[in-house]
Amino acid sequence: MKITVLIVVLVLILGGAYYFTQAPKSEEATSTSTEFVLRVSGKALVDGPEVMTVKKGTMVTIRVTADEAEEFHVHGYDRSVDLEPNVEASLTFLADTAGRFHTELEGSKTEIATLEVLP
Amino acid sequence: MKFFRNSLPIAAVVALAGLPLAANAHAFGQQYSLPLPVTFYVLGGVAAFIVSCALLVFAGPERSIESARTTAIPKRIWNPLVVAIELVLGGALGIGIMLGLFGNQSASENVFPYLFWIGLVLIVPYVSMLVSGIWELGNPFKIIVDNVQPESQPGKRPWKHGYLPALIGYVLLIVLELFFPVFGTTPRVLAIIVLLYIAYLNIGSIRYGTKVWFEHAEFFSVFFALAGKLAPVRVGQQSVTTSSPVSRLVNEAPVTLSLLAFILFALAATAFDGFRETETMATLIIDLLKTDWFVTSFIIFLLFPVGFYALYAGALLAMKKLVRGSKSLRDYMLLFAYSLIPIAFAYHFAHYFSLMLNSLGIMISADRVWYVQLAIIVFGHAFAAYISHQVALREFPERGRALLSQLPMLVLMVFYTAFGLWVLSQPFAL
Repeated sequence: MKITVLIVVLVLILGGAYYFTQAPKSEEATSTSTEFVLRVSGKALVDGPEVMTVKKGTMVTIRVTADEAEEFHVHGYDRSVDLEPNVEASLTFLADTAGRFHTELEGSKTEIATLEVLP
Repeated sequence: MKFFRNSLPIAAVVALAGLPLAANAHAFGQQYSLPLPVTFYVLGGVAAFIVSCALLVFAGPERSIESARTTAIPKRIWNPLVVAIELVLGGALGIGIMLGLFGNQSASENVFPYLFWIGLVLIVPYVSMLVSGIWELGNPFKIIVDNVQPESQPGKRPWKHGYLPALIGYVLLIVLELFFPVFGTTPRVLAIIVLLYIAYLNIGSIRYGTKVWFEHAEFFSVFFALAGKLAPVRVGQQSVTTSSPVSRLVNEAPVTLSLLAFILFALAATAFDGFRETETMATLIIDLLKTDWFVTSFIIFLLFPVGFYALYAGALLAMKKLVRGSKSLRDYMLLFAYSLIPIAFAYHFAHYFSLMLNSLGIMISADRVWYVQLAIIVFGHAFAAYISHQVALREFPERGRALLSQLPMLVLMVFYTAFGLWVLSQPFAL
Protein backbone atom coordinates (compact mmCIF):
# COMPACT_ATOMS: atom_id res chain seq x y z
CA MET A 1 0.00 0.00 0.00
CA LYS A 2 2.73 2.44 0.98
CA ILE A 3 4.82 1.70 -2.09
CA THR A 4 1.73 1.91 -4.31
CA VAL A 5 0.86 5.33 -2.93
CA LEU A 6 4.39 6.55 -3.51
CA ILE A 7 4.52 5.22 -7.05
CA VAL A 8 1.12 6.72 -7.92
CA VAL A 9 2.19 10.09 -6.57
CA LEU A 10 5.47 9.99 -8.48
CA VAL A 11 3.69 9.11 -11.72
CA LEU A 12 1.22 11.96 -11.15
CA ILE A 13 4.04 14.41 -10.53
CA LEU A 14 5.97 13.42 -13.63
CA GLY A 15 2.83 13.29 -15.75
CA GLY A 16 1.75 16.69 -14.50
CA ALA A 17 5.18 18.13 -15.11
CA TYR A 18 5.21 16.72 -18.64
CA TYR A 19 1.70 18.03 -19.40
CA PHE A 20 2.23 21.53 -18.06
CA THR A 21 5.57 21.99 -19.76
CA GLN A 22 4.34 21.19 -23.26
CA ALA A 23 3.99 24.25 -25.53
CA PRO A 24 0.36 25.11 -26.49
CA LYS A 25 -0.54 24.09 -30.08
CA SER A 26 -1.70 27.57 -31.02
CA GLU A 27 1.76 29.05 -30.39
CA GLU A 28 3.19 30.74 -33.48
CA ALA A 29 5.79 28.76 -35.31
CA THR A 30 9.29 29.23 -33.96
CA SER A 31 12.14 30.12 -36.20
CA THR A 32 14.09 27.13 -37.46
CA SER A 33 17.35 29.02 -37.85
CA THR A 34 18.92 31.83 -35.89
CA GLU A 35 22.09 33.82 -36.33
CA PHE A 36 24.19 35.59 -33.73
CA VAL A 37 27.03 38.01 -34.35
CA LEU A 38 29.78 38.35 -31.74
CA ARG A 39 32.74 40.69 -31.74
CA VAL A 40 35.62 40.05 -29.35
CA SER A 41 38.36 42.52 -28.57
CA GLY A 42 40.98 42.33 -25.85
CA LYS A 43 39.64 38.89 -24.86
CA ALA A 44 36.24 40.41 -24.02
CA LEU A 45 32.90 40.50 -25.78
CA VAL A 46 32.45 44.05 -27.07
CA ASP A 47 29.47 43.52 -29.33
CA GLY A 48 26.73 40.89 -29.37
CA PRO A 49 24.51 39.17 -26.82
CA GLU A 50 26.00 37.74 -23.60
CA VAL A 51 23.26 35.13 -23.66
CA MET A 52 22.14 33.61 -26.95
CA THR A 53 18.76 31.95 -26.52
CA VAL A 54 17.23 29.54 -29.00
CA LYS A 55 14.65 26.76 -28.98
CA LYS A 56 15.74 23.15 -29.27
CA GLY A 57 15.84 22.09 -32.90
CA THR A 58 17.03 25.45 -34.18
CA MET A 59 19.90 25.65 -36.66
CA VAL A 60 22.27 28.09 -34.97
CA THR A 61 24.86 30.17 -36.75
CA ILE A 62 27.37 32.13 -34.69
CA ARG A 63 29.52 34.63 -36.59
CA VAL A 64 32.57 35.65 -34.60
CA THR A 65 35.23 38.27 -35.18
CA ALA A 66 38.21 38.59 -32.83
CA ASP A 67 41.21 40.86 -32.79
CA GLU A 68 43.64 37.98 -32.35
CA ALA A 69 44.21 34.45 -33.56
CA GLU A 70 42.17 32.11 -31.38
CA GLU A 71 39.78 29.21 -31.36
CA PHE A 72 36.10 29.83 -30.63
CA HIS A 73 34.64 26.82 -28.83
CA VAL A 74 31.06 25.93 -27.88
CA HIS A 75 31.10 23.59 -24.87
CA GLY A 76 28.70 20.69 -24.72
CA TYR A 77 28.24 20.62 -28.47
CA ASP A 78 32.03 20.59 -28.69
CA ARG A 79 32.02 22.69 -31.86
CA SER A 80 34.82 25.07 -32.64
CA VAL A 81 36.16 27.31 -35.36
CA ASP A 82 39.59 28.89 -35.78
CA LEU A 83 39.72 32.67 -35.70
CA GLU A 84 42.12 34.87 -37.65
CA PRO A 85 42.63 38.46 -36.47
CA ASN A 86 39.76 40.67 -37.69
CA VAL A 87 38.45 37.99 -40.04
CA GLU A 88 34.87 36.87 -39.43
CA ALA A 89 34.46 33.14 -38.89
CA SER A 90 31.21 31.26 -38.83
CA LEU A 91 30.01 28.22 -36.93
CA THR A 92 26.72 26.49 -37.79
CA PHE A 93 25.18 23.55 -35.99
CA LEU A 94 21.84 22.11 -34.98
CA ALA A 95 20.95 22.89 -31.35
CA ASP A 96 19.35 19.53 -30.66
CA THR A 97 20.13 19.27 -26.94
CA ALA A 98 18.56 21.62 -24.40
CA GLY A 99 20.83 23.22 -21.86
CA ARG A 100 23.13 26.09 -21.04
CA PHE A 101 26.45 26.01 -22.87
CA HIS A 102 29.36 28.33 -22.39
CA THR A 103 31.39 29.56 -25.32
CA GLU A 104 35.01 30.51 -24.90
CA LEU A 105 38.24 31.40 -26.57
CA GLU A 106 39.97 28.08 -26.20
CA GLY A 107 43.54 29.35 -26.28
CA SER A 108 43.19 31.74 -23.37
CA LYS A 109 40.27 29.88 -21.70
CA THR A 110 38.26 33.13 -21.73
CA GLU A 111 34.51 32.80 -21.47
CA ILE A 112 32.74 34.89 -24.11
CA ALA A 113 28.99 34.27 -24.16
CA THR A 114 26.45 31.64 -23.18
CA LEU A 115 24.19 29.67 -25.48
CA GLU A 116 20.85 28.71 -23.90
CA VAL A 117 18.89 26.06 -25.74
CA LEU A 118 15.39 25.88 -24.35
CA PRO A 119 13.27 22.72 -24.66
CA MET B 1 49.46 -14.06 2.63
CA LYS B 2 48.74 -10.76 4.41
CA PHE B 3 52.07 -9.28 3.29
CA PHE B 4 51.49 -10.43 -0.29
CA ARG B 5 47.93 -9.15 -0.24
CA ASN B 6 48.95 -5.79 1.15
CA SER B 7 51.92 -5.42 -1.17
CA LEU B 8 50.29 -6.48 -4.43
CA PRO B 9 48.05 -3.42 -4.79
CA ILE B 10 50.95 -1.10 -3.96
CA ALA B 11 53.18 -2.84 -6.50
CA ALA B 12 50.45 -2.64 -9.11
CA VAL B 13 49.87 1.03 -8.37
CA VAL B 14 53.57 1.80 -8.72
CA ALA B 15 53.77 -0.16 -11.96
CA LEU B 16 50.64 1.28 -13.49
CA ALA B 17 51.38 4.80 -12.35
CA GLY B 18 54.46 4.92 -14.53
CA LEU B 19 52.47 4.42 -17.70
CA PRO B 20 50.25 7.08 -19.26
CA LEU B 21 51.98 10.29 -18.24
CA ALA B 22 50.84 11.97 -21.42
CA ALA B 23 47.23 10.92 -21.09
CA ASN B 24 44.78 13.45 -22.41
CA ALA B 25 41.37 13.91 -20.99
CA HIS B 26 38.20 15.58 -22.07
CA ALA B 27 37.36 18.74 -20.17
CA PHE B 28 35.56 18.11 -16.92
CA GLY B 29 33.51 20.23 -14.57
CA GLN B 30 30.97 21.34 -17.17
CA GLN B 31 27.33 21.31 -16.19
CA TYR B 32 24.83 22.18 -18.89
CA SER B 33 21.59 22.19 -16.92
CA LEU B 34 18.98 24.94 -17.05
CA PRO B 35 17.06 26.33 -14.09
CA LEU B 36 14.10 24.18 -13.09
CA PRO B 37 10.88 25.69 -14.51
CA VAL B 38 8.46 27.16 -12.00
CA THR B 39 5.94 24.44 -12.84
CA PHE B 40 8.36 21.74 -11.72
CA TYR B 41 9.24 23.65 -8.58
CA VAL B 42 5.62 24.14 -7.57
CA LEU B 43 4.67 20.57 -8.47
CA GLY B 44 7.60 19.24 -6.50
CA GLY B 45 6.77 21.26 -3.41
CA VAL B 46 3.11 20.31 -3.54
CA ALA B 47 3.97 16.65 -4.12
CA ALA B 48 6.35 16.66 -1.16
CA PHE B 49 3.62 18.07 1.04
CA ILE B 50 0.97 15.64 -0.18
CA VAL B 51 3.25 12.63 0.16
CA SER B 52 4.20 13.66 3.71
CA CYS B 53 0.56 14.01 4.71
CA ALA B 54 -0.35 10.73 3.03
CA LEU B 55 2.39 8.91 4.91
CA LEU B 56 1.19 10.36 8.20
CA VAL B 57 -2.36 9.24 7.54
CA PHE B 58 -1.81 5.88 5.87
CA ALA B 59 1.55 4.52 6.95
CA GLY B 60 1.47 2.17 9.87
CA PRO B 61 4.42 0.71 11.76
CA GLU B 62 6.69 -1.77 10.01
CA ARG B 63 5.29 -5.22 10.84
CA SER B 64 8.65 -6.70 11.70
CA ILE B 65 12.28 -5.86 11.59
CA GLU B 66 13.40 -7.28 8.28
CA SER B 67 16.27 -9.63 8.76
CA ALA B 68 19.27 -9.47 6.51
CA ARG B 69 20.05 -12.28 4.14
CA THR B 70 23.71 -13.20 3.88
CA THR B 71 25.32 -15.32 1.20
CA ALA B 72 28.85 -16.54 1.79
CA ILE B 73 31.27 -16.11 -1.10
CA PRO B 74 33.81 -18.90 -1.71
CA LYS B 75 37.42 -17.91 -1.12
CA ARG B 76 38.36 -18.67 -4.74
CA ILE B 77 35.96 -15.90 -5.81
CA TRP B 78 36.30 -13.57 -2.82
CA ASN B 79 40.09 -13.16 -2.83
CA PRO B 80 40.37 -12.20 -6.52
CA LEU B 81 37.36 -9.90 -6.12
CA VAL B 82 39.01 -8.03 -3.25
CA VAL B 83 42.29 -7.80 -5.14
CA ALA B 84 40.43 -6.48 -8.19
CA ILE B 85 38.71 -3.80 -6.09
CA GLU B 86 42.01 -2.84 -4.49
CA LEU B 87 43.70 -2.65 -7.90
CA VAL B 88 40.96 -0.48 -9.40
CA LEU B 89 40.78 1.98 -6.52
CA GLY B 90 44.49 1.90 -5.72
CA GLY B 91 45.46 2.03 -9.36
CA ALA B 92 43.22 5.01 -9.98
CA LEU B 93 44.75 6.85 -7.04
CA GLY B 94 48.33 5.98 -7.94
CA ILE B 95 47.95 6.80 -11.62
CA GLY B 96 46.10 9.95 -10.72
CA ILE B 97 48.81 11.20 -8.38
CA MET B 98 51.55 10.47 -10.90
CA LEU B 99 49.64 12.22 -13.67
CA GLY B 100 48.95 15.09 -11.35
CA LEU B 101 52.57 15.54 -10.42
CA PHE B 102 54.20 14.92 -13.80
CA GLY B 103 51.50 15.15 -16.46
CA ASN B 104 50.01 18.00 -18.44
CA GLN B 105 49.07 20.79 -16.03
CA SER B 106 45.96 21.87 -17.90
CA ALA B 107 42.85 20.69 -16.03
CA SER B 108 41.11 19.86 -19.28
CA GLU B 109 44.05 17.79 -20.53
CA ASN B 110 44.86 15.83 -17.36
CA VAL B 111 42.67 13.00 -16.11
CA PHE B 112 43.59 13.41 -12.42
CA PRO B 113 41.11 16.21 -11.56
CA TYR B 114 38.47 14.07 -13.30
CA LEU B 115 39.43 10.98 -11.27
CA PHE B 116 39.28 12.99 -8.06
CA TRP B 117 36.22 15.24 -8.44
CA ILE B 118 34.08 12.98 -10.59
CA GLY B 119 35.36 9.50 -9.77
CA LEU B 120 36.05 9.77 -6.06
CA VAL B 121 33.68 12.55 -4.97
CA LEU B 122 30.68 11.58 -7.14
CA ILE B 123 30.82 8.07 -8.61
CA VAL B 124 32.04 6.21 -5.50
CA PRO B 125 29.29 7.56 -3.19
CA TYR B 126 26.62 6.89 -5.83
CA VAL B 127 27.86 3.32 -6.19
CA SER B 128 27.92 3.07 -2.37
CA MET B 129 24.22 4.00 -2.36
CA LEU B 130 23.58 0.80 -4.29
CA VAL B 131 26.31 -1.52 -3.03
CA SER B 132 28.05 -0.56 0.19
CA GLY B 133 31.30 -1.92 1.52
CA ILE B 134 33.33 -1.62 -1.70
CA TRP B 135 35.25 1.36 -0.39
CA GLU B 136 35.97 -0.39 2.91
CA LEU B 137 37.37 -3.36 0.99
CA GLY B 138 39.62 -1.36 -1.30
CA ASN B 139 40.21 2.00 0.40
CA PRO B 140 43.52 3.00 -1.24
CA PHE B 141 44.37 5.41 1.58
CA LYS B 142 44.04 2.60 4.12
CA ILE B 143 46.10 0.27 1.98
CA ILE B 144 48.89 2.84 1.93
CA VAL B 145 48.64 3.40 5.71
CA ASP B 146 48.60 -0.36 6.33
CA ASN B 147 51.75 -0.71 4.25
CA VAL B 148 53.53 2.20 5.91
CA GLN B 149 52.67 0.84 9.34
CA PRO B 150 53.11 -2.95 9.07
CA GLU B 151 50.30 -3.76 11.46
CA SER B 152 47.21 -1.82 12.42
CA GLN B 153 48.09 -0.11 15.62
CA PRO B 154 45.63 0.13 18.49
CA GLY B 155 46.65 3.74 19.07
CA LYS B 156 48.29 5.56 21.94
CA ARG B 157 45.43 7.92 22.79
CA PRO B 158 41.73 7.37 23.47
CA TRP B 159 39.31 8.84 20.93
CA LYS B 160 37.19 11.73 22.19
CA HIS B 161 36.45 13.75 19.08
CA GLY B 162 33.44 12.07 17.50
CA TYR B 163 33.42 12.74 13.75
CA LEU B 164 34.79 16.26 14.01
CA PRO B 165 37.97 15.61 11.96
CA ALA B 166 35.90 14.08 9.14
CA LEU B 167 33.54 17.05 9.25
CA ILE B 168 36.46 19.49 9.12
CA GLY B 169 37.85 17.50 6.20
CA TYR B 170 34.50 17.80 4.41
CA VAL B 171 34.37 21.55 4.99
CA LEU B 172 37.92 21.96 3.67
CA LEU B 173 37.10 19.88 0.59
CA ILE B 174 34.10 22.05 -0.25
CA VAL B 175 36.10 25.23 0.41
CA LEU B 176 38.74 23.95 -2.02
CA GLU B 177 36.08 23.12 -4.61
CA LEU B 178 34.05 26.32 -4.40
CA PHE B 179 36.46 29.03 -3.26
CA PHE B 180 39.83 27.91 -4.59
CA PRO B 181 38.88 26.05 -7.76
CA VAL B 182 42.22 26.91 -9.38
CA PHE B 183 44.02 24.89 -6.69
CA GLY B 184 41.41 22.16 -6.82
CA THR B 185 41.77 21.73 -10.57
CA THR B 186 45.50 22.32 -11.06
CA PRO B 187 46.72 18.72 -11.31
CA ARG B 188 50.02 19.16 -9.44
CA VAL B 189 48.47 21.16 -6.61
CA LEU B 190 45.67 18.62 -6.26
CA ALA B 191 48.19 15.77 -6.19
CA ILE B 192 50.18 17.50 -3.44
CA ILE B 193 46.98 18.03 -1.44
CA VAL B 194 46.18 14.32 -1.73
CA LEU B 195 49.71 13.40 -0.63
CA LEU B 196 49.37 15.71 2.37
CA TYR B 197 46.05 14.01 3.16
CA ILE B 198 47.79 10.62 3.09
CA ALA B 199 50.46 11.97 5.48
CA TYR B 200 47.70 13.28 7.77
CA LEU B 201 46.06 9.84 7.77
CA ASN B 202 49.36 8.20 8.69
CA ILE B 203 50.00 10.59 11.57
CA GLY B 204 46.49 10.16 12.92
CA SER B 205 46.69 6.38 12.63
CA ILE B 206 49.88 6.30 14.67
CA ARG B 207 48.35 8.53 17.34
CA TYR B 208 44.87 7.03 17.62
CA GLY B 209 44.99 3.67 15.86
CA THR B 210 44.14 2.88 12.25
CA LYS B 211 40.65 1.52 12.86
CA VAL B 212 39.46 4.41 15.00
CA TRP B 213 41.11 7.04 12.77
CA PHE B 214 39.61 5.73 9.56
CA GLU B 215 36.16 5.32 11.09
CA HIS B 216 36.01 8.85 12.48
CA ALA B 217 38.54 11.06 10.71
CA GLU B 218 38.90 9.79 7.13
CA PHE B 219 36.35 11.97 5.35
CA PHE B 220 35.75 9.66 2.39
CA SER B 221 35.16 6.63 4.65
CA VAL B 222 32.60 8.52 6.73
CA PHE B 223 30.87 10.00 3.65
CA PHE B 224 30.66 6.69 1.80
CA ALA B 225 29.52 4.85 4.94
CA LEU B 226 26.59 7.26 5.23
CA ALA B 227 25.75 6.78 1.54
CA GLY B 228 26.01 3.04 2.15
CA LYS B 229 23.18 3.18 4.67
CA LEU B 230 20.86 3.54 1.68
CA ALA B 231 22.24 0.48 -0.07
CA PRO B 232 20.19 -2.72 -0.27
CA VAL B 233 23.36 -4.74 -0.89
CA ARG B 234 26.51 -4.88 1.20
CA VAL B 235 29.78 -6.69 0.51
CA GLY B 236 32.19 -7.59 3.26
CA GLN B 237 33.54 -10.37 5.47
CA GLN B 238 33.61 -12.77 2.55
CA SER B 239 29.88 -12.43 1.97
CA VAL B 240 27.15 -10.48 0.24
CA THR B 241 24.30 -9.28 2.43
CA THR B 242 20.95 -7.98 1.26
CA SER B 243 18.91 -5.98 3.72
CA SER B 244 16.39 -3.21 3.75
CA PRO B 245 17.80 0.28 4.11
CA VAL B 246 14.54 1.12 5.92
CA SER B 247 15.35 -1.08 8.91
CA ARG B 248 18.92 0.26 8.98
CA LEU B 249 17.86 3.91 8.96
CA VAL B 250 15.09 3.33 11.50
CA ASN B 251 16.97 1.13 13.96
CA GLU B 252 20.33 2.88 13.90
CA ALA B 253 21.23 6.36 15.04
CA PRO B 254 24.45 8.30 15.46
CA VAL B 255 25.84 8.69 18.97
CA THR B 256 27.49 12.06 18.42
CA LEU B 257 26.19 15.41 17.22
CA SER B 258 29.25 15.74 14.99
CA LEU B 259 27.88 13.02 12.69
CA LEU B 260 24.51 14.77 12.58
CA ALA B 261 26.39 17.97 11.70
CA PHE B 262 28.18 16.03 8.94
CA ILE B 263 24.85 14.94 7.42
CA LEU B 264 23.41 18.45 7.61
CA PHE B 265 26.58 19.89 6.09
CA ALA B 266 26.17 17.54 3.12
CA LEU B 267 22.71 18.99 2.54
CA ALA B 268 23.71 22.60 3.17
CA ALA B 269 26.88 22.51 1.07
CA THR B 270 25.02 21.15 -1.95
CA ALA B 271 22.32 23.79 -1.53
CA PHE B 272 24.94 26.52 -1.31
CA ASP B 273 26.76 25.22 -4.39
CA GLY B 274 23.53 25.65 -6.33
CA PHE B 275 22.67 28.98 -4.75
CA ARG B 276 26.02 30.68 -5.35
CA GLU B 277 25.61 30.65 -9.14
CA THR B 278 22.17 32.25 -9.12
CA GLU B 279 20.98 35.74 -9.92
CA THR B 280 19.62 35.93 -6.37
CA MET B 281 23.11 35.55 -4.91
CA ALA B 282 24.52 38.10 -7.33
CA THR B 283 21.74 40.58 -6.52
CA LEU B 284 22.20 40.04 -2.79
CA ILE B 285 25.94 40.71 -2.80
CA ILE B 286 26.38 43.15 -5.67
CA ASP B 287 23.19 45.21 -5.51
CA LEU B 288 22.01 44.97 -1.91
CA LEU B 289 25.00 44.41 0.35
CA LYS B 290 27.57 45.96 -2.02
CA THR B 291 30.38 44.05 -0.29
CA ASP B 292 33.38 42.04 -1.40
CA TRP B 293 32.19 39.01 -3.35
CA PHE B 294 34.68 36.46 -1.98
CA VAL B 295 34.33 37.39 1.71
CA THR B 296 30.54 37.74 1.59
CA SER B 297 29.98 34.50 -0.30
CA PHE B 298 32.26 32.73 2.20
CA ILE B 299 30.20 34.08 5.09
CA ILE B 300 26.99 32.95 3.38
CA PHE B 301 28.62 29.53 2.83
CA LEU B 302 29.24 29.26 6.60
CA LEU B 303 25.73 30.44 7.41
CA PHE B 304 24.09 27.75 5.29
CA PRO B 305 25.02 24.76 7.51
CA VAL B 306 24.45 26.81 10.64
CA GLY B 307 20.97 27.68 9.36
CA PHE B 308 20.16 24.11 8.37
CA TYR B 309 21.35 22.86 11.79
CA ALA B 310 19.36 25.53 13.62
CA LEU B 311 16.21 24.65 11.67
CA TYR B 312 16.65 20.96 12.49
CA ALA B 313 17.24 21.71 16.18
CA GLY B 314 14.20 24.00 16.17
CA ALA B 315 11.99 21.34 14.64
CA LEU B 316 13.11 18.73 17.17
CA LEU B 317 12.61 21.18 20.03
CA ALA B 318 9.08 21.82 18.78
CA MET B 319 8.55 18.05 18.58
CA LYS B 320 9.78 17.56 22.17
CA LYS B 321 7.46 20.31 23.42
CA LEU B 322 4.43 19.04 21.47
CA VAL B 323 4.68 15.46 22.77
CA ARG B 324 6.17 16.43 26.14
CA GLY B 325 9.05 14.08 25.42
CA SER B 326 11.10 12.87 28.36
CA LYS B 327 14.38 12.61 26.45
CA SER B 328 16.80 15.48 26.02
CA LEU B 329 16.77 17.60 22.87
CA ARG B 330 20.17 16.11 21.98
CA ASP B 331 18.75 12.57 22.17
CA TYR B 332 15.83 13.45 19.86
CA MET B 333 18.15 15.18 17.41
CA LEU B 334 20.28 12.03 17.22
CA LEU B 335 17.27 9.70 17.06
CA PHE B 336 15.91 11.27 13.87
CA ALA B 337 19.30 12.13 12.31
CA TYR B 338 19.38 9.26 9.81
CA SER B 339 16.01 10.26 8.39
CA LEU B 340 17.89 13.16 6.78
CA ILE B 341 20.19 10.86 4.82
CA PRO B 342 17.72 10.20 1.95
CA ILE B 343 17.09 13.94 1.48
CA ALA B 344 20.79 14.78 1.67
CA PHE B 345 21.87 12.23 -0.91
CA ALA B 346 18.84 12.73 -3.14
CA TYR B 347 19.63 16.41 -3.33
CA HIS B 348 23.34 15.68 -3.86
CA PHE B 349 22.51 13.34 -6.74
CA ALA B 350 19.96 15.70 -8.28
CA HIS B 351 22.50 18.50 -8.23
CA TYR B 352 25.52 16.64 -9.56
CA PHE B 353 24.33 13.71 -11.70
CA SER B 354 24.23 15.72 -14.93
CA LEU B 355 27.79 16.95 -14.23
CA MET B 356 28.85 13.34 -13.71
CA LEU B 357 27.22 12.23 -16.99
CA ASN B 358 28.64 15.18 -18.93
CA SER B 359 32.12 14.36 -17.63
CA LEU B 360 31.67 10.78 -18.84
CA GLY B 361 30.86 12.17 -22.28
CA ILE B 362 27.12 11.56 -21.97
CA MET B 363 25.13 14.63 -23.02
CA ILE B 364 21.69 14.68 -21.45
CA SER B 365 19.13 17.25 -22.51
CA ALA B 366 18.22 19.80 -19.83
CA ASP B 367 14.53 18.92 -19.92
CA ARG B 368 15.32 15.29 -19.14
CA VAL B 369 17.52 16.52 -16.30
CA TRP B 370 14.47 18.33 -14.86
CA TYR B 371 12.41 15.16 -14.74
CA VAL B 372 15.20 13.26 -13.03
CA GLN B 373 15.82 16.08 -10.54
CA LEU B 374 12.14 16.36 -9.68
CA ALA B 375 11.65 12.62 -9.32
CA ILE B 376 14.80 12.07 -7.25
CA ILE B 377 14.15 14.96 -4.88
CA VAL B 378 10.52 14.08 -4.28
CA PHE B 379 11.39 10.40 -3.87
CA GLY B 380 14.19 11.29 -1.43
CA HIS B 381 11.77 13.45 0.49
CA ALA B 382 9.14 10.71 0.62
CA PHE B 383 11.68 8.17 1.79
CA ALA B 384 13.00 10.55 4.45
CA ALA B 385 9.48 11.33 5.68
CA TYR B 386 8.71 7.62 5.85
CA ILE B 387 11.85 6.90 7.89
CA SER B 388 11.07 9.76 10.25
CA HIS B 389 7.54 8.47 10.68
CA GLN B 390 8.75 4.95 11.45
CA VAL B 391 11.20 6.27 14.04
CA ALA B 392 8.36 8.25 15.62
CA LEU B 393 6.10 5.18 15.76
CA ARG B 394 8.84 3.28 17.59
CA GLU B 395 9.60 6.12 19.98
CA PHE B 396 5.99 7.10 20.66
CA PRO B 397 3.86 3.92 20.62
CA GLU B 398 0.61 5.91 20.92
CA ARG B 399 -0.34 6.72 17.34
CA GLY B 400 -1.73 10.15 18.21
CA ARG B 401 1.52 11.18 19.88
CA ALA B 402 3.54 9.83 16.97
CA LEU B 403 1.46 11.84 14.48
CA LEU B 404 1.80 14.97 16.60
CA SER B 405 5.56 14.51 16.78
CA GLN B 406 5.77 14.44 13.01
CA LEU B 407 4.16 17.82 12.38
CA PRO B 408 7.38 19.80 12.97
CA MET B 409 9.31 17.20 10.94
CA LEU B 410 6.80 17.56 8.11
CA VAL B 411 7.34 21.32 8.06
CA LEU B 412 11.13 20.89 8.25
CA MET B 413 11.37 18.33 5.47
CA VAL B 414 8.98 20.19 3.17
CA PHE B 415 11.12 23.28 3.74
CA TYR B 416 14.38 21.42 2.95
CA THR B 417 12.81 19.93 -0.19
CA ALA B 418 11.15 23.13 -1.34
CA PHE B 419 14.33 25.10 -0.71
CA GLY B 420 16.34 22.60 -2.71
CA LEU B 421 13.89 22.83 -5.60
CA TRP B 422 13.81 26.63 -5.32
CA VAL B 423 17.60 26.79 -5.61
CA LEU B 424 17.46 24.59 -8.70
CA SER B 425 14.80 26.88 -10.22
CA GLN B 426 16.72 30.12 -9.78
CA PRO B 427 18.05 31.77 -12.95
CA PHE B 428 21.80 31.77 -13.30
CA ALA B 429 23.75 34.96 -12.83
CA LEU B 430 25.32 36.33 -16.01
